[in-house]
Formats: sequence, structure tokens, C-alpha cells
Amino acid sequence: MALYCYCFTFIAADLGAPKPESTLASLGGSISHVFDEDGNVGSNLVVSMTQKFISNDVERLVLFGVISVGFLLAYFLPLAQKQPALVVTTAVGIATLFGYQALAGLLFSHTVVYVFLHPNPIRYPWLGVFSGILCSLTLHPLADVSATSITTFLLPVLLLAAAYRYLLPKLAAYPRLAPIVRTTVVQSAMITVCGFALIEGLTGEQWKLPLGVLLFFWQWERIILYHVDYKDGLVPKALSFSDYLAVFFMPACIANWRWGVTIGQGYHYSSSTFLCENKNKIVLSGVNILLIALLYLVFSDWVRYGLIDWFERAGIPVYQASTRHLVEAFMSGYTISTSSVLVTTLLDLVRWLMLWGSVVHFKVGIWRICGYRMDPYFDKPWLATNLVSFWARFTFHYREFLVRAFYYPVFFRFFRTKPVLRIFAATMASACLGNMIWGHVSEEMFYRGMEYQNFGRVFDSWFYFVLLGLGITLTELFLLRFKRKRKPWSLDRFFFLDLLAAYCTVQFYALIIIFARPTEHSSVGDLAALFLLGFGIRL
Amino acid sequence: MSERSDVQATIKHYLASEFPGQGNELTHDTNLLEDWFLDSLSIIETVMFLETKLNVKMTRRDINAENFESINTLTKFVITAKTRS
Repeated sequence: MALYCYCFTFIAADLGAPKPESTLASLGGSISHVFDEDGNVGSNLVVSMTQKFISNDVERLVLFGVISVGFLLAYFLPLAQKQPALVVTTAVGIATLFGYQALAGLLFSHTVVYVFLHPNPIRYPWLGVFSGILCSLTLHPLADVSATSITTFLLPVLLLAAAYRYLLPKLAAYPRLAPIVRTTVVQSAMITVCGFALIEGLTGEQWKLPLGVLLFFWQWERIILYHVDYKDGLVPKALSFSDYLAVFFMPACIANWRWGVTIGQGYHYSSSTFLCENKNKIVLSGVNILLIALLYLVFSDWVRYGLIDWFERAGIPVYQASTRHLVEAFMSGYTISTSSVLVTTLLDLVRWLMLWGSVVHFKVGIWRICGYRMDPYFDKPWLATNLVSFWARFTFHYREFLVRAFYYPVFFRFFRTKPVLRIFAATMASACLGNMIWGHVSEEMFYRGMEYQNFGRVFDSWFYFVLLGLGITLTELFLLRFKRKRKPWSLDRFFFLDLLAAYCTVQFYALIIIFARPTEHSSVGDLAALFLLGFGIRL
Repeated sequence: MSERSDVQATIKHYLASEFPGQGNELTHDTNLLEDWFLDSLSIIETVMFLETKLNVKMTRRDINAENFESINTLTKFVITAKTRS
């Protein structure tokens, strides 16, 4: 963390030490596209949506501080106090970064989920009052001591306390109604953002959610998988509120850095990976993965611009390694060669892989140093020899979310006697529909706001999701039909076939991203023409 | 042979023939998730095998690390599931 602070914050300047750029220069080194104007390393670690700090460097310093304190507490405290300490540390971190009102909003949202999933008014009579206080703090904190102000503050407290004490037990007594209510609460993020976006489309009126509620929505994958675990009987019914919060309040869950906000795993995964082996081993693996993340963070732009220069010098225009720029050039009528399409899309994917790799490795590293044996999110996707393997190596935890939330429910419910149809339906439900709606619509709304046009941004790229779903389905069926007799990358005479398969896999994925980068005036037909150009077919 | 050893042998034969050459010896205690299966598709294939050949009706919640840890745990699961149905 000290190394992270040195590279990505002002701490060196504040302490009067040489800045990273000066240190490298004093060693006689020089490297382009690594340092920003203030002499620190330019970074993709961004804590977004904070209004308290002007500088990203200060936000990062707070984040690194929270992570360090979390690690020390999780490492040295007695076992029973480790997870509660992580919850408190994270809460303090959120309050510092986003303000106490945001923390109240986040906690309030979680109390609502908790009371519906684990109702127990007898055991936790205080929870309704606590939830009401948090609700009041989120919506209208006590500004003065006037009668109106106190009444406005106390009203939600009384209402929620009464609802928790008298309404909830009655709701829970209806076996058909209770699961519907639970699902509604769990899916509240999707319901809310889509509802408000539709209202915006119809009336033009824009709505803004309290920041704390938005921070709660950022954890939607984790909440959905918590619910899947709950339905599968993997969550104890009498789970305490503190143990519930331990699933969601971790330094790695602080909403930040734009991509891969939370890792989509629920209660069962978290509880079964926490200190499941020697803690020193887990922590060391975390340090190792944090160092890998550091390499990605520092050198990704250097690699990217180096590749751009190399191909430009070789006479292949690569449009700043941006598929979007490639599509814009194509739509503007420029003549584009097949090699340009192939290289540009590939370099864009390289850029994205390095960006993604850096951020998700950082997250997994944090989980690990806090004692969780979290699987790598990103595992050398360029070694994948087919699309199924690529998807698992590229974005393991997101794929797990899609598989558990969408693939399995369809696979175990429909077409049980027709294997091809069964796999097709399950794969399209997860890689196409679930990925598009629950993966991308929600993110678009969270990032850009609840506006109707944000539906369009995702639905304009529908063909990307269809091609991805079809590609994965066909790969699955191929692998079922033609059994694998060897492990990929074995050093035998088929090694070069592995190389070819790996290139084809990565290039295919890079090419279908064309459909995910439409311009204002491009149609699916235009994008298909550019896509086919990648195969040497000029329409 | 007992039902248990029948099921064990059927599963072992399937895993050895469908996913051969993993570089380890396949025993009843081999960790399937870490040392035998190539990917999650292998689990889906195994589910389809258990359903069609051993007439086990599986649900989503049966796909977990406890059941799929080894041939022994899979055998235990199959026998329990058959009794259940």
C-alpha cells in the first residue's frame, strides 16, 4: 500500500521525497505515457461520485488508508472480531469518502433487504427503529430543533418501526406473497432505475437517487447472488445483521474505479473462502496479485501507445486503437483495409484487457489481504483456446454471476430431454439476455443517470450480445460433440494449433465489439459490413 | 457389487474416458474441481451424464463444491438423490 500511495498520490511531494517521475529520471530511466503532469503515475483507479474531495489523489490516499487498516485489523484481531472490524473499517471509509448521509443511505438499503430476508421482530426489535433513523438521515437529516424538523425526522422512524413490528410478521406468514416481496426488494435496483428512466422518457422529468441508495445499487450482483444462495438454502435463516453486513462491507466493495464495482459472489462463496487456509498464504497471494495489478496500472498505457506507434510505422492505420474511432471512420466513408480492422479491434481489446486486468486484480488483491481466498477475476485470457474458456478467464466472477443467476435456472427448468436446445436456451439467457439487461442496462443507468436514452445505448448494441451468446453456444456444442483429448498448451505437435485457436478466439471477440460501438447514424447493417471486412469480405 | 461401488465405478469410468489425460491419477478422492475438470462445461456435461445414465434428477442447488469435490462425494450425492426421488 505504501508503494501504491507513492505511485498514485501526492504523498511523496507532501513528505518532501522525490516524485516517481524524478526517481526514475535520477536512475537514468525515461518512459512515456506513464506519468501525469504532477509527476505521479497516471491511474485508472478513480473513486467516482465523491463530492467531498477535489483531488483524486486524496481520495486514493483515503482508500489506501482504509485498505491498510482493514488488513491490519483482519490480520491481528481474534477470529470472531475480524469480519466485524472489516465492516466498521469499510463504513468509516465510506463515510469519509462519500459523507455520513451516503453511509446512512447504504445502511438503510441493506436493513430493508435484511429485514425482508431474515425477519425476526422478536429477536431484533430495534432493527425497525434503526432502519427508520437511517432512512431519515438519508432523506432529510435533522437541520434544527424545530417541531417540524423533529416531526419530519421521527415520522419514518415510527412508520418503519411499526411496519417491522406488526406488518412484516404478517407478510412473512403468506408463503406465496413472501417470495415475491423478497424478489422485489432484491431486484429493487433494476426496478427503480428502469422505472425512473421510463418516467424520464415519458415526462422529461429527471430523478436523482440519494448517493447512499446508488452505492447500494452498485452492489446489485452481490445482492442477487446473496438471494440465489438464500433460495438454495445456503444462507442461515437466523444470520445476524453483522454477519449479513460482512458480505457487503469490505474495503474492496467501496464503490469506486468505474469498472467491476463489486465482485459478484454471495454469502456462500464469501463465508467458505474466508480464512479457509493458512492466513499468511492467503495474504501473500494477495500481495502478489496487488503487485501484478501495479504492473498493469503503471505500464498499460506505455504498452498500448507503443503498439499503436509500431503498427502506424508499419503502415497500418489503427485509429488510436479505438474500435469506436474505427466505426466513425468507416461511417465517414474512409476506405479501411482488413488488416486495419483486425489490428484496431485487437489493440482496443488489449487496451481494455489491461485496464480491466489492473482494476480487478487490485480488487481481488484487497479481498485476499483481508483473508478471503478469492479466485482471480482475470486469468490470462489470451491463453484461452475457445470462447467458453475466454469468457471464464476474462471475467470469471461476472461469468459466475451470469451462470448462477441465469444459466442454471434455465438449464434445470427447460428442455431437459433436448440437450442442444437446453444448452442454447441456457446460454442465450445468460450470455445474451442476462448480460445485456442485468449486466449492461443497470450499469449504464448507474454511470450516466436514469435517462430513457440510456436504454438506447445498450439496445443499439443488441447484436453484440446475440453474437456473443451464439458464439458461446456453438463453442459449447462443439466441445460436447468433439471431446477434448489433451490439455491446451501441452508441449506437443498440436502446440501451434493452440496458438492459432487462441488468436482466433481473441480476434473473434475483438471483432464482435464492433457491434457494441455503434455511432449515432450507424445501423446493424453498417456494422456488419465493417465486421465482415475483418474477414476480408467487402460488401 | 453394492450399489455404492456400482455408482462409483460408473462415474469413474465416465470421468476417465470423457476427460482423459489430466496429468494426475484419477482416484476416488481426486479433487475433481481442482485437478480433473477442464472448465465449467465439464460440470454441465457431467450433470447431463448423471441425469441420463444414472437417472438422477438434479436441481440448481445440487451444483456445489461439496457434491462435486470427488468421486466419493458425487457417489454419495447420487445415492442420496436416488433415495430422495
